[in-house]
Amino acid sequence: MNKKSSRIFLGLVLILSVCLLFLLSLSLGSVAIPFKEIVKVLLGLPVENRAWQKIVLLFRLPKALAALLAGAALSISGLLMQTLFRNPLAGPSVLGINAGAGLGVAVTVLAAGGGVGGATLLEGFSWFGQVSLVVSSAIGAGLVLIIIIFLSRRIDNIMTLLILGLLFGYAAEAGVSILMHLSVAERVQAYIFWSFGSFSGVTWDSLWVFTLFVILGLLLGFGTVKQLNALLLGEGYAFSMGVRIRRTRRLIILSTALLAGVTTAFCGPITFIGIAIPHLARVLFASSDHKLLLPASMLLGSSSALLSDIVSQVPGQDLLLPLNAVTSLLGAPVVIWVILKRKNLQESF
Amino acid sequence: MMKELLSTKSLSAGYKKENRTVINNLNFSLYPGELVCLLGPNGSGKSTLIKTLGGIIPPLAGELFLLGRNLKLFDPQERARTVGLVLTDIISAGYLKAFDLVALGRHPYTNWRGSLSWKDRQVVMESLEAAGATALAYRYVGRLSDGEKQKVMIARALAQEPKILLLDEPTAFLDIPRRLETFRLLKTLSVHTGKAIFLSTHDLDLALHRADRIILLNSFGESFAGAPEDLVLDGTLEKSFLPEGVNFDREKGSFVLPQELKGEALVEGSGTVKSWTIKALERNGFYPEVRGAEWKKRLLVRIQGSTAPYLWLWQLGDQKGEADSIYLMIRQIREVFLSLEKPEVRQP
Repeated sequence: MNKKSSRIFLGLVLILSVCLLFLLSLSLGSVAIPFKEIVKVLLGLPVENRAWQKIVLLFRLPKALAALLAGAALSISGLLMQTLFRNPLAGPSVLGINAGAGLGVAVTVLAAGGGVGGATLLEGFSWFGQVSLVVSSAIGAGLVLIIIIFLSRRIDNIMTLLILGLLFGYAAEAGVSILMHLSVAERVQAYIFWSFGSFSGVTWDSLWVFTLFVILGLLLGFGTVKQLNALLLGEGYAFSMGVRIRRTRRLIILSTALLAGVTTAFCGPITFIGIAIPHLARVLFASSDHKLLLPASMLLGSSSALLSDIVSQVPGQDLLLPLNAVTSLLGAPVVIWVILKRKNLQESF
Repeated sequence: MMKELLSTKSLSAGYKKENRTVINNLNFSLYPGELVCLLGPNGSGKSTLIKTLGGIIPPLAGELFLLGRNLKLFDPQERARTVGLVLTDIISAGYLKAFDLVALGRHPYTNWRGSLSWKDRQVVMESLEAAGATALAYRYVGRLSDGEKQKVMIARALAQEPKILLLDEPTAFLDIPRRLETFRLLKTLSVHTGKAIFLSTHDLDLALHRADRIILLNSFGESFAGAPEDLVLDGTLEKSFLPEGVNFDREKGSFVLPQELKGEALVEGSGTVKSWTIKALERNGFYPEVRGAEWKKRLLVRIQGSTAPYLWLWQLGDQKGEADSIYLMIRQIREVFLSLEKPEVRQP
């Protein structure tokens, strides 16, 4: 019972920290806005400074919501991949979905020679450029997803699938590097800028699409909670306990591909959250039970994405750090700590 | 005649993709309350057969019936309520407690979230108890020993409340007391619950003494079945299982590694100490009462004392010695024997 109450306490702390970080990310940035004013803006009350209202409503709120969704999506897809492949280092990127999205973007940015999309992209993040980025990375991610799901119908061995996914990733990266080599410096820079990852690309116009897909992916993921627990023992045992292996595998892959694909499309390839957060959730809750791990990873993922975003904005400065650098700097120590604490990652499933 | 729980009709098992048939034309049945051991050399298809019977690998040909109904007609849930499996797969659910792991066996009975009802919990506790794992219930699986883990995995299979239990080498990786314990546990389960238990094993001795029936597979995809005694008496066991250089003692029902014969041993003494002394001498190539051979070496051993400490007096050729332990005696004899065997070392 003591254990149970401590888990409830931990859960409450997590929910509270998500709320706090959410407000903090609205308040901090190149211009600091007092907490009280933030609350007023959110409640629709009159505010002293009209500019603050605009900043919060037009820029910071969609960005914070995007971070919230992206963090949850990435960590859930990481958890699903780790359980499905029974590999502690699996993450949203293992199926080659991120690389596919990267190739899609690279084709648009680097190869669209003189086209309208390519030209506007170079002028920074105009609305049209933004949309074409999202569309092209969604197409790239979607294509890889379709190939993977097609293969998962035919391939029985889950390890083969994992390796194929990795190889797709390499092939897509090879395509990207060829395009980069043939392209001009400015466009390469634009691509690299995309590959840093960012939550600020999400606007109110596109947020609902993002939200819809993330919720769909999460529902699919949460729907397989019982099968995920059975898969902890491997596919042989899961089968013997009555799990429909192929169907479950397809659902999990669909869910993770949706989550990772849509997040990469809107926010760029964000690293480490997907790998690190599930481990953190396991250690914090000392559990392998997905009924606990799914919500825990979601909350932890959202907080870590919000925190990374706050740090990358460097509060009070005009400086902007690449988001991926921040997630890696925050994420790597977590994974190292987990490995050292448990001695053996395999054991911590 | 009791009704069979599982039966196969000209079943062939193997791997379609690799175009490899491991087991040909197998006909056999499992009856309630039976403990059946599957024996065979490595690579004879024991695991393949277990996985085929459990439905993991589809049969290449022939048919497989559970409770008189073709396995193909079972939906996954029904199948899981009928057959429980214990495999050799490595499990890495370190943060799962034994209770939770066993509770996973309730999968075919629970709702979409896998929530446990009061009855589910009761079955889990009963399964743990039946497997002798009650004390492990609240320990993390990652911290259990191999033997403890095996008990928990058996309990997990029992939690499915299956009529048939299939186990793939449940005694591998266990030490001998743990092996005996596992066999005793499975025997008890089969006798008291009426489940049919089918396991593959390399433990010939245990299988010969504990199994109700043995299925023997050889490397050619053939199979033989019968009570252990039947197979011993008609010589099937020796023929199909023994590698060269191993003898089977039909009287004792155990396998013997023949030693190079060094000589004949005459032991004076009585009781347990005598039989253990003979055992040690046999291991070193000295056999009592060997017929039909001319023995150059004759070893005489006299045991003094009727309770410990004993004293062993021995004579080999013109050498004599005494020792206060079997080990010491054997060492002394070995030295003498070596000096007798190779009296001269050739100079290069």
